[in-house]
Amino acid sequence: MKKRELQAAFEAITPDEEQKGRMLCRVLGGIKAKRPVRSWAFGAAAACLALGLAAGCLLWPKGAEPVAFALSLSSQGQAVELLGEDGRRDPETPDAEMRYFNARNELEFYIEGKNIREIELSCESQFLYVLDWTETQQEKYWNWEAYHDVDPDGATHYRPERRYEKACRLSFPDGFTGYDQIWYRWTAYDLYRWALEDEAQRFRSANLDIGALSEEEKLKLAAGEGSAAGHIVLDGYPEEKLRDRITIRLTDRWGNVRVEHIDLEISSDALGRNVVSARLEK
Amino acid sequence: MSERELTAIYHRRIDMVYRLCFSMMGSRQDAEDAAQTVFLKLMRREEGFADEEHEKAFLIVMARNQCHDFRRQWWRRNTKALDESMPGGEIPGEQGEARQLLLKLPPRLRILLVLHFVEGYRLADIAQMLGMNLNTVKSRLRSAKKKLKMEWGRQEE
Repeated sequence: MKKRELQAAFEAITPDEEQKGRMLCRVLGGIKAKRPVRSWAFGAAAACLALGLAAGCLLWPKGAEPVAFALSLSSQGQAVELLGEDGRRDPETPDAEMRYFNARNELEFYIEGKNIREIELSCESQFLYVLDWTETQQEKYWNWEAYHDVDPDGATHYRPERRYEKACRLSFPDGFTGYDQIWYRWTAYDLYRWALEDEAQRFRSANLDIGALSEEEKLKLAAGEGSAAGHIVLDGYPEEKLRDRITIRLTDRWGNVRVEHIDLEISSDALGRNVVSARLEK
Repeated sequence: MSERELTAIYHRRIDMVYRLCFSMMGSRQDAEDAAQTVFLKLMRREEGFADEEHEKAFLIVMARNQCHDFRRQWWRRNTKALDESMPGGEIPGEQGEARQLLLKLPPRLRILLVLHFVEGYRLADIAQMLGMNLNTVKSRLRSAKKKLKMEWGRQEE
């Protein structure tokens, strides 16, 4: 391959005008979403610029409808739909709230929708990770490559999907429909790490002598009946980290953006069991 | 940085940033994602650039880092196979064939080819910009050329 051919090949991957316009609209759209309201002193110039840009953006195909998607939370095998398929709140759960005991202090949710191009998630105090069920689960067990990630420099990472992140972004190609097969899990990983310090003494019943229990007590313990064993003692953990907010930002294929927030709180009930409360912000 | 300044830089540099991103990501959609993220991050930059070369070098490093970040995200692996079927994803003729050959190279080699042969950077400048050893740049470029030559020859046969 000659130098000229090489250059021609790279020049052929220059974006076309439509791509350039689309990217610019997204960049400027992203800036507007993040910026505070401008001052009046700068307002006139900004308005002129914004009008020009808006006219430019209108040239690109853009849907008029807001991004419609369904949002469901899942706990202990039960899913609660917070937003219906049309993106509206379920009339049966107007408060869009969920409270449940959870020693792991986790919240799982999934999104259903059409034509979603991008899903961005972030949280403030704890962590997120993503479980991809679009590949068959079985394959992950026998196919080494499906469960490993090799970066450009050749380093290998194990189970990248289990990496804990403060924020993540997923992009979906045209024709993608398996949104509901990707599960998002918020997890109080910071709390968990804190609880593990000092030989896990912050877990309730850390020193419990199972052998000394009667069979009935063992059965009760195994079933979790009225027991807080395995739950974390929250005393001493920074209070602000017991609250978190997940921001879900969806962009459809026409550039429409929708943002929703789930507020979370971890607390303990009278028995010392950890309770996770999740509420979709109104 | 104001929107006006950003828009001006965007129009000046989008071709280069996109080419770099495409060369590293290997797909149109990922390249768009990476390129627009580079410009979104640029907006947060408060200080200006010393000159056009500084601006260009800054964007190259940003694009490289952004693509590294994206490539670490496991879900991007799922999008690649489908991307080529996107409308406009195909480049016909010899250029399309050449692009297919380029895509057979690893991203770390492709970025060097773009910077050297398309953007016209000297090897020493590339090494400085990407924080690499000059000899590594030289040997990787040699390796890229060798691989391309082999693949090209294979296709000609």
